[in-house]
Amino acid sequence: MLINTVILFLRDALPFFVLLSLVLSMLPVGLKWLSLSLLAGLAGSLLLLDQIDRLSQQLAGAGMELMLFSCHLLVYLAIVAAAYIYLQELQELPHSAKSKQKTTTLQGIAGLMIATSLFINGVSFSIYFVNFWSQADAPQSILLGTALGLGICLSISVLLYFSMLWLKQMFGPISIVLALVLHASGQLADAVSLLVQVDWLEQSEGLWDLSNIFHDQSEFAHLFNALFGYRASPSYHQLGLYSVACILPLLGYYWLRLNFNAPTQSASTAAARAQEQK
Amino acid sequence: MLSRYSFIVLLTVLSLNAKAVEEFTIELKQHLFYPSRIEVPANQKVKLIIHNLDEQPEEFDSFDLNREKMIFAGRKAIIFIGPLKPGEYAFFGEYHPNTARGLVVASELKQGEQHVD
Repeated sequence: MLINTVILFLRDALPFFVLLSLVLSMLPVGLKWLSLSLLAGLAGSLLLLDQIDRLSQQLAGAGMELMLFSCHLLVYLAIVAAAYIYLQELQELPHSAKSKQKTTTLQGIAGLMIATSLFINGVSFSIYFVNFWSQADAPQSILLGTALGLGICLSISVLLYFSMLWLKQMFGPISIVLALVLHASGQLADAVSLLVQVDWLEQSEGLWDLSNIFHDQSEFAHLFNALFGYRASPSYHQLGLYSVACILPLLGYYWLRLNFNAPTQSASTAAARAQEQK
Repeated sequence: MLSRYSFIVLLTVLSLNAKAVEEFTIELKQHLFYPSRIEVPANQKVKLIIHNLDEQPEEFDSFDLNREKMIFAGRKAIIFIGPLKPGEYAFFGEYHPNTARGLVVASELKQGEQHVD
């Protein structure tokens, strides 16, 4: 039970912690929006517990998969929108009215994606805790496993958070945008298997097999999967969706910057930002 | 004219999709899969029907098959797998990975033949 709980954390909670670190390296930590989104996500997954059995039987047994895929799509779209607003917000003078307005919008979108991500990943935990807590000796093992799993996830997210701050300083905010887009695309491409398993999409062949290097079951594979959607043997569908999901928003940001008055950072704004960072 | 062609294309797609898929049933009892080894035909899509006869939910999980599905107590779940290359594909119950373990073996079998251990 202890090991199961730790593994459950590594598999299901790590993507949430990765997203949280990436978002916090992009936005100033606000207690209000962060706690509200965490509460909303938790409440959502607990409420779903009541209906999950019925939901899983809907649409010839595909109800749960379709809901989860929709949530992954929503998180992806929210991340793409957040990354764009973040790039725009950086063009404004810090503490100006426009900058504050964009930060508020950004916090709203970030809250939505954190709540949705927690909702997606929290469902599996809620079912596990509710159903196994009553077993003999389970509470002690579950609590210990939770402490260990949470410790691992928190350590990784703190390391990632500071790495992102360092990358932001070295290569600019685009490094955070790239990390966010890679993470979002990876999670979305990974969710394709949900549609395949309920026969809403045909299975396509695996393009290659890296199982002898990093098997999907290994710890590194779990970490890489949470970071950028690693799969030892991705299918055509997964790789296709991954590539499109990565390239389209990056091209979109570039195109918008070229064609619509997407402002280039003025010397005064850049100086003000640099001053603020100091 | 376009809509007529679209309709014909849609019907063709639906009829191709409606091709019979072979079904295989697995039961989960006391955190064990029965049968724990199931032979399926290689290179074709098959349908796994998993009945959870336990009083607790279980998550059917397989890294090899890239599948993950919650099965609630007393319920059945349907998972489509394949087309698979000939070989062995392990699966397990995420909540009881030490006991709930099984193997899907994809091999060249005659239609309807099912090997059970």
